[in-house]
Amino acid sequence: MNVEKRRIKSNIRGILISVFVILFFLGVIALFYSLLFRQTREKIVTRGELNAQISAQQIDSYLSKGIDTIKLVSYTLDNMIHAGKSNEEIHDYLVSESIAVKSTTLEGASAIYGYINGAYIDGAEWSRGDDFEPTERPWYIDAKAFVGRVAVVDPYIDLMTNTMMITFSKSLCDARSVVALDFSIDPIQTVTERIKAENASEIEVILDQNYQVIAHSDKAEIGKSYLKEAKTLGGMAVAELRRANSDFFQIDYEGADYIIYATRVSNDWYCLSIANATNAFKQLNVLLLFTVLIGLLVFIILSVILIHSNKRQVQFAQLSIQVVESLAAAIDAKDHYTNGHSDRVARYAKEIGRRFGYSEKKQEELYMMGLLHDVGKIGIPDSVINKPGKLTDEEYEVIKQHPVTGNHILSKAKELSRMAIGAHWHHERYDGKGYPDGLKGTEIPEEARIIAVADTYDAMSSRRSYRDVLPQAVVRSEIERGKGTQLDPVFADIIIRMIDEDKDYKMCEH
Amino acid sequence: MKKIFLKMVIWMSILVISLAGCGQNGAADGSLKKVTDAGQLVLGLDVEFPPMGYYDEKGEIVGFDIDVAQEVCDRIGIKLVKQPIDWSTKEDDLNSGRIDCIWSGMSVTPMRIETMCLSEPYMKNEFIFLLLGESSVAELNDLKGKTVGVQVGSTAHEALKSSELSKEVETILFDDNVELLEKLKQGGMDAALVDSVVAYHFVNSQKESYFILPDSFGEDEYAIGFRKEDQALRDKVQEILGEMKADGTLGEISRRWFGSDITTVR
Repeated sequence: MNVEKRRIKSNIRGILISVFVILFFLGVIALFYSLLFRQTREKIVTRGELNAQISAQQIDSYLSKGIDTIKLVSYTLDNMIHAGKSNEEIHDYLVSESIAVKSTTLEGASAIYGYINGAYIDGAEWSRGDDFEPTERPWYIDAKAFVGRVAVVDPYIDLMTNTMMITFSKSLCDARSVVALDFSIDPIQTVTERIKAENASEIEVILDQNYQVIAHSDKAEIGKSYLKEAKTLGGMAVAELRRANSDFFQIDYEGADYIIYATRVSNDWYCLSIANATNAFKQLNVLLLFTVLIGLLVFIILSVILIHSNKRQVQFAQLSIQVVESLAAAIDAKDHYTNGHSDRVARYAKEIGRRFGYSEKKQEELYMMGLLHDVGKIGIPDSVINKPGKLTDEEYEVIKQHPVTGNHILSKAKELSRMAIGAHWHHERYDGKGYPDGLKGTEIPEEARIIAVADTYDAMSSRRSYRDVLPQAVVRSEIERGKGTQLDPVFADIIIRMIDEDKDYKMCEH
Repeated sequence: MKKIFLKMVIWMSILVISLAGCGQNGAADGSLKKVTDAGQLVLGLDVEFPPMGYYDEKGEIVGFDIDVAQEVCDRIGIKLVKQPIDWSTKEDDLNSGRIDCIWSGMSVTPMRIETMCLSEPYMKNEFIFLLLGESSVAELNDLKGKTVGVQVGSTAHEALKSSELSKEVETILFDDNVELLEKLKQGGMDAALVDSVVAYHFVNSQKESYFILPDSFGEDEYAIGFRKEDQALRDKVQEILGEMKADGTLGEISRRWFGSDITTVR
């Protein structure tokens, strides 16, 4: 019964440990995955940041050439206006400056032109139609609105050359004259296409302040207004860009994860690096699945091994108990008149131990000691042990040898060596008058003192060849009398209490 | 170019700080409900600040800010009440509840970020020296020893005070821009330091010719100021401005006043 109880107990402990191990495993995997996820994301963001910054820088440096040119020209024109130069002189300057700009700084530049001192002047001598009204052109209106700052006018496609053109214009010192410069922004397009060529999963977009596509790694997108698109990738990116408070964000478009990094280009444009992170995350998911599977496999294998070894351990424990029990049965079989004595002593000793505060494990040990305390009797001849009449002195000396013999037998088995304590000293007396060593008081091991009490009690509460079970009151008074002399008073008191609780005198041989 | 980029970074970070600086639990405060329950938004403005907000010849308060605010109120479904205020006590007017917001071409400054809940900037502005057409001054250096007029307490005034130039010019202070520009017209000073939007409107409404100096004297941005705790109201206005940007209404209002869309709403 005890073995069964212990088995259930160890099973529960096993399950608990398994749950903890599983939780630990899952925790480690989750931690590992989230770290990896963050790292992957960070890597993509960093790359996006780098790309966006590279594009922004290149675009900035290209656009700043145009801005510097228009600033330089307007500085000269301001001086000419202050100096009261004629429009012919201003015209000549614009013609020569147009050529200079085209051949040196800005290859894609068209002519420099403007509305100066109330007249349209064109550095390329481009003849406009009669209905051409310069003050109604966007470059003029925008420049005036931006008073002194360089205005970037909405890009347009030059039908002659089929290139995307942009206009920079600036009002002059009199706040009414305006100078303007058109130039190609194809080089900006080249920047986006090059980044795309380096990494296929990247999309590079340049947007103006109205979220119109200036340049895009996919040429077909140029000119689209993302502000008006709601369900396209570009439209969603812009919606998020307008909402976001950080320079990178993530969107989910048609089941794919996109990580977007945005940076401003100096003149209020945006440069977006859009990375499709689906593949990177998918790889991560595969890795996660793999890790979980491996973890599970390892766990299952470990469990099988553990369960197997546990079973053997239980079997072994059962076996040793069975051995001890058969040994005890052998002792009782030899002494006809002490049938079941070992078993009862074992039970009484265990109960005393329990009441004294022994742990479950120590109680079990005490029980085993009880079972084996008389093992030394195996060495006493049958004729002596079962002699009906009075023993001679020699025969009594033989009987008194049994604790030493028991100690001798049990010391042989290493695992049972502690069992020898009970066998060896259960006939010692508290006052030191016992045998075989005449130990006194606490010199006698505690377990032996307990077994001595149990043994004495059973000797009286069981049948002998010459008498029946003694009445409970007699037994009680005998124990009381032996307290402090033969028996340890502490354990004697415990068994007295047990006797007092045993109203029907069940604690005896039946 | 690099300097501009650096400035932009600074402004962006100020913007982020200002966003974070406003009351955190935005939707929870009752500022929007208060305004809709009252059925009106009381807008405080410097009424001598054309073209952002000023009296027209019929004596009505008009302007770019007024048109935008009117559209925002129409979309919320409330009335717009235009409340002229003394610019020097605007914080008191706001915090005492006399007005619900300051919407008057107000520049973003670190102090205002601290004490108010600001919208995102909606327009860029530059400080510009405006001169009479016959002036001999052609660049910043020519201003040495001359008289410069500026509105007292304006961010342009602050910029002038903290510059080297302030030691070499005689500064004349004015309470408002209208008075300042009138004095310039009469030849009462050599140059007026004003916001670029003011200069634009003035030059285009006058027959006489005026000059501006090509050198920039600093720049800032305009934003709408709400009470520090009025996050919900500020967010609603910001949301509608975003919608107006998307459907083109904001650009249209800007074109009406400046010929071009010069707003910077996201």
